[in-house]
Amino acid sequence: MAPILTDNGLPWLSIVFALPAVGAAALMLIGHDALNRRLALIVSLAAFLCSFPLLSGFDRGRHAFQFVRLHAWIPQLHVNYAVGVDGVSLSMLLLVTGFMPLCVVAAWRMAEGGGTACMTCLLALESALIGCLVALDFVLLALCWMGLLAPLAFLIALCDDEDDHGGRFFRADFRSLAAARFFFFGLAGSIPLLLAGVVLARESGTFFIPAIMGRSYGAGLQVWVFAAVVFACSQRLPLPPLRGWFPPALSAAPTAAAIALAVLAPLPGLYGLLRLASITPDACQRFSGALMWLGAIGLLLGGFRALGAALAGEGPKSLVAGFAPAWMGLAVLGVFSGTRLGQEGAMFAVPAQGLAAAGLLLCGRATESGGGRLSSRPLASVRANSRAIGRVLTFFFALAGAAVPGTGLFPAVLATLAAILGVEPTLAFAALPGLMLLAVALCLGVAGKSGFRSGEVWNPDSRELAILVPLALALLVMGLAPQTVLDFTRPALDALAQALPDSP
Amino acid sequence: MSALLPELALIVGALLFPAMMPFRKTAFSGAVGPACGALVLAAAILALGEEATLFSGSYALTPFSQSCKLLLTVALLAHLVAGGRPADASPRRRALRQSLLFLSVFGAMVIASATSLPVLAAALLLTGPGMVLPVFAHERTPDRKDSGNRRGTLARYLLLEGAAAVLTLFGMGCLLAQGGSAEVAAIAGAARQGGMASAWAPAGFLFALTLPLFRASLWPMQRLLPELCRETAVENAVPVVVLPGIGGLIALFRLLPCLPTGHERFTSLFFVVLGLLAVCSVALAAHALDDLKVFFARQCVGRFGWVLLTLAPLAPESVGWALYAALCSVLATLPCWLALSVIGLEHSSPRLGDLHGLARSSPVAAGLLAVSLLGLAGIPPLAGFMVTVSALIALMRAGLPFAAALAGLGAVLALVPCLRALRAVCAVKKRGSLAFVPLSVLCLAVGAALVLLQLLLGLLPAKCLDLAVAAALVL
Repeated sequence: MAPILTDNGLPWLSIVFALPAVGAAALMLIGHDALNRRLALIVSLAAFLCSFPLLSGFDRGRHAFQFVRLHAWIPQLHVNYAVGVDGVSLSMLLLVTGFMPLCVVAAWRMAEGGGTACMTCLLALESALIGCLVALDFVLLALCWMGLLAPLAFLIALCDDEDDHGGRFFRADFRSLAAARFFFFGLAGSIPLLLAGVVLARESGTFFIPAIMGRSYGAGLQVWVFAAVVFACSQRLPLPPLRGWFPPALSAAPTAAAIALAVLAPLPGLYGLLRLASITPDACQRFSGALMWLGAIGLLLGGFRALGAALAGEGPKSLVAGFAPAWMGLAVLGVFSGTRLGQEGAMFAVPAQGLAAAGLLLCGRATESGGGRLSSRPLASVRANSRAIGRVLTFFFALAGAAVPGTGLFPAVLATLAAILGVEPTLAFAALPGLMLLAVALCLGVAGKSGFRSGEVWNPDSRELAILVPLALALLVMGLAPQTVLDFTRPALDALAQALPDSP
Repeated sequence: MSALLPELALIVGALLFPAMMPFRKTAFSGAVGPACGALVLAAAILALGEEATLFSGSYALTPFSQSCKLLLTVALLAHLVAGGRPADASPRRRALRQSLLFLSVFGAMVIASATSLPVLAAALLLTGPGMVLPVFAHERTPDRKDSGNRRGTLARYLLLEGAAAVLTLFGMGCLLAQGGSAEVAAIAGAARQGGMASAWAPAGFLFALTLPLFRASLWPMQRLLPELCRETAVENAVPVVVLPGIGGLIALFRLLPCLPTGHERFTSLFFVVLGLLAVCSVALAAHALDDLKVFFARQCVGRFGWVLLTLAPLAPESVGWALYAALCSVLATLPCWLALSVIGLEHSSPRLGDLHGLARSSPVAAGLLAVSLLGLAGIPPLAGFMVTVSALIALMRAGLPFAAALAGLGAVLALVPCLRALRAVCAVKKRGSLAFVPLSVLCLAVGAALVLLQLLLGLLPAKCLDLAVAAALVL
């Protein structure tokens, strides 16, 4: 069995997991929009604050699941309530709890569907996302994995921050179709995960993931489980060929949901891929090459999409719809390189692209002072219709998304390319065009022709600066001092790398 | 005698409706139905933990029978709360229909408690038509063509019901002959000990299941269900689809112990194939449907299919899981019918397009409908998800991984019709679609209680599974 450290103190992990769900239930009972917005912000901030004891209590020197809590849940099915974190999932959990208050603020004023429905969905989504990262029982994992589909789908379908009255009918139909596609693809990806868990439980006699990780399985079984988990995680990331749902969903989603889709929803997918090596090492070894090519193709396709969006003068959401999956493709390259360096690159790529994507989306969705109509306009237009600080921020996030040195994505690119060069040099050359396309797309997008100058000017107020500046600073810290992030993840990644046969 | 409270309450209710005829024009006449339903439910809750053997051992009250009675009364209450439109029906017919319904539910309770096979068979035969026939007595349209359609549907229903009844009686006769006793427990004992070695025993067992499976409208008998639903007023859909289905499942569970030893594998495969056909074919057929009654009826049949899948291992605990799955399936379907019956007040035959914009015009009704649809699709944290998990585990334990994969595929396909309905609910209101849909306080309370129960059973199923497995062991 994989090592675990049980927690006998205050159950901070369970509190962080349950608090948003309890908050969501409370919001439904209260039903007062203005009050619910404030309550949602308080709950999301409280969840973020409650994750600090986990940060301070985490033993960075041990590669074990920590803060583990195990309680009987459904004894008849041998299913337990089991939660715990390692370095990788803790860093992702901090990302989720840190971003959710931003999403709540981004959803503060919506053209449609704001208030109770939106905030309830956001909090339920947060709980489900946290559950995906901390669950140590396969049934609990599947419950949370599928449980985030409904809140996100309703956010896309019912809420909108586009104030475009002329296209109201078209846009509502487009949103509902995008939400339905997201829901369908999400469930189609989740059921194989559940089946894989049931199969593994039958072999190992338990749904407890650390116990499942500690056993060896037959080659045939490993292949089926590997295929099922990769299918589920690829849909979530998203990777080709299961990414058709992503661009329309991102375009249709309000900014808060777009941040969740682009930044937070892929995290469980990446974590699942990282953990897969511990369960199906032989299958990982056998198919890692194919998956690395899949990552490279994802990177290339994302680059093309981002370039197309930039050339067509589409808004930040369309740009993010291209570059977010592209960086996920890079992350997959790193994960399946089988090296610690590659996995560290993957761990950097995900939060860094998330910070850049969130920054771009929030710049595009400028709130009351700048003009809520900018989110569908080109990034260059956002830049052109902004005051100095707004222009600087827009430029910065665009360049960060292009992995300019000094920003968070640059170490990710360096580490991943260095890892791939040592494993499969051809892939490194295959990945380069995608990276170049992304850089060109983002530079073109922000520095290109603005198309027009509207009378409205975005002058970021203190609230917007309070959100955007920390995001920019975080990107700078990640770019200039990457060790601060790696300290958390190194022990866990060491253990993951050792799980692979013949790992360097 | 406290154990018989549900039955007594049903008889009282059946007599009450004709007795209330002189008061039909008073203000509280519309409250009689829900009040009776609440009374029966309270009686069922009080009798839940009771065990007794009455009438010289011919009527046994066990945890299983009391649980089934609770399930029946929940469904009955939901139907009564959804109500009908008294102005559309002759008061005398309405009173007669309600009395017959109460007596039919009483008959379903007898199925759960009867220890003698002939009594069980008689109750099974009498309950179905008692639930469905009064629906056809409801004169909704004076159109001659509609009346002709209804008579044709009735004739086809009676023909199929009669054929299923004949097969069931034949099967029960075989079991009786092979078991050497009229008592269900004795027949089950003979089956367990290998005393039913003749080839007629397993054949008789399968024939005996014909009528219960027909009542649950499982494939291929479910072809009749759309026609039944088309001819039925939307507020009467529960007696047509759900109550006979529950009665059929109760009969199925009662007859399961009579399975002769040595034929478990074949029977398991039979249930799995039937369950898969229900889940997958229903999901596929619902894609093109526009009539909401037929749409939800097919979803209900799909949920009953999951109950059969959980029976795959045919172990005592798997019967307990199947009981739990039956409870969850009923709880998932009832809010749909509740919401639909409220919508049916505006449109007598609601279609998918009528739901456009419901999320904006009536958020509460839309919320109830949305949660119900998600429960039908098996989305967590509602109880349907646990049914899916238990079914997949059961199929794996039965050594049928391919069936588990097909069941997973069915679960994905079943989402598509639900997404169609949810899309319509979230879309912008179009001309002709529903305006504000008022939900009565009672409807809202019952709907919210059903949703809460689904959440509880989805997140904390252990206690319910314990009770279900314990009840199944006694069975």
